[in-house]
Amino acid sequence: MLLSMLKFLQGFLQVTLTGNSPERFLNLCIRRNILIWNLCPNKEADGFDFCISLKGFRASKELLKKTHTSMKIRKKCGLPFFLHRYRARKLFVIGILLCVMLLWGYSKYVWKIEVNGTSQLSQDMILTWLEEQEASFGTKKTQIDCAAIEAALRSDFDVIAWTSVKLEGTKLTVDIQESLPEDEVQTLPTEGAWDLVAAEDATVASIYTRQGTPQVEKGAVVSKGAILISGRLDIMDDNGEVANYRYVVSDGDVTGTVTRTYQSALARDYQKKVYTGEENTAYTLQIGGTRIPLGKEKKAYSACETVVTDHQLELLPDLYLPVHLFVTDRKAYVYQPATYTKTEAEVLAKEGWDAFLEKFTQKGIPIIVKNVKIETDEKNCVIRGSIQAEVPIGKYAPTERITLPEQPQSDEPSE
Amino acid sequence: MIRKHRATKNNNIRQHEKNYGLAEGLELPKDVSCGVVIVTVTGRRALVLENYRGIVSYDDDCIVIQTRDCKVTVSGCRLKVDYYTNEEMKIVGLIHQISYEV
Repeated sequence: MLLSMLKFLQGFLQVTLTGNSPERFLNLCIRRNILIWNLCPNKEADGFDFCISLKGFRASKELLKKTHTSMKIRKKCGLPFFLHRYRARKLFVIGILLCVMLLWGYSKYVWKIEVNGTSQLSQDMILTWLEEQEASFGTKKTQIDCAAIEAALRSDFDVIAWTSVKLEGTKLTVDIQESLPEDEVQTLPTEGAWDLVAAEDATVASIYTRQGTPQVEKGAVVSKGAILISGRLDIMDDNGEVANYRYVVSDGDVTGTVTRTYQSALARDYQKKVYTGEENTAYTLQIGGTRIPLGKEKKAYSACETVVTDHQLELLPDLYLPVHLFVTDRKAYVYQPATYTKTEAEVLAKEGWDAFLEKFTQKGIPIIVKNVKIETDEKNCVIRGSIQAEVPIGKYAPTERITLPEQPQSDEPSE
Repeated sequence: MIRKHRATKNNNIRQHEKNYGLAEGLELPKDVSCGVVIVTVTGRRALVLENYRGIVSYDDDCIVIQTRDCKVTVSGCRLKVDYYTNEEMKIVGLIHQISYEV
């Protein structure tokens, strides 16, 4: 391979040697260190075909005279001949070189940022934050410290539980895993004295105590704030009286049957979006920070749906360049007054009710009873419903500490 | 004239035998001390020759190579010289026979 490259760079000729004593010519060539390869007899020309280096060809002219042989060039191969053939196309070669240099230069920067796994945080928030950290579009790859960005992301956003930042080609990928929203997370106390109290009015459906003293039984009706599991343990003496109290963090699962109501009203008269059928597509090319509209300027509509699709130039997988083609699709529409039919209105109202139930199903909360009623008149469609569900009702509250009255010490020694 | 040529040839062979015996006794490599030809054959498809003087004749089915003390004849079909340098040459093709001629 290396030898072939060397031969190509130096240039070589495929020749046919004819004459009275071609063997003598070949022997003289090797005496003068002229390299010959791919030597084979040519019966048609009554001579030999072989390859000879450009330098060797020049040096062999004297030998041709000496051996009364002649050499006919069949093909010229290699870089010197290539350059000579295309000497008039210097600008083309310069253009190719410039293109390669530009590509090489552009590949040193970040041209695409991909943010995955965000739900509470928006992508724009992360992109703005990255811009503040000087790790945005067009930043040099060597200036980006992925480990430092990961650490800063975790410290600046409490909601981020895990993050991974990686650079591949010209793409910066930020993978994020968010922790649960604060209202869904109940911070569990680890030490002290804590009761488990009812978060709302409910009927206790089940109670499992791991630590603490249960205060209610299954089926008990509790009001908001009532102690379900107490964090105070009574230590009894031999007489069956409370000798002391021990305080712990109560622990257990308490579910209660609660009632949730749903009500929604839908106006039957509404403004319907009707597409006029007029639509157009505009193309805009963006190179770096410069935007160039392609084609004629399209007609603007008073009310239209606009969808902009960004196509970024990707030469190789993960090798993005700052060249974007924005395709803008516009669809014109007008609002027209319309009225939902009774069935349509009820279907829409039912969708809201189903979404309400779906929230409970997603959390794995069993629904025991559900009642729904839809009332439709000329103007409105009202849906009213209520459900009974078993939800966790326990929340932590500090335990009230009780001090035992000091017992009078008896003078008589115990026997 | 012919007698003189035969005498010179015999003298050369004798001299060569003497050198070979000396190299054998001193345990010297023969290719360096006597300049004998080295023929390396790889299966039936390739042959590398070292310590030769030149090509005597060459066609598709027979190549005769002059070495210091003999001629090496390689017979076969579709014989081709892959490379030909001052040091060594490589012959490729289907080799039928390799013979030595004094």
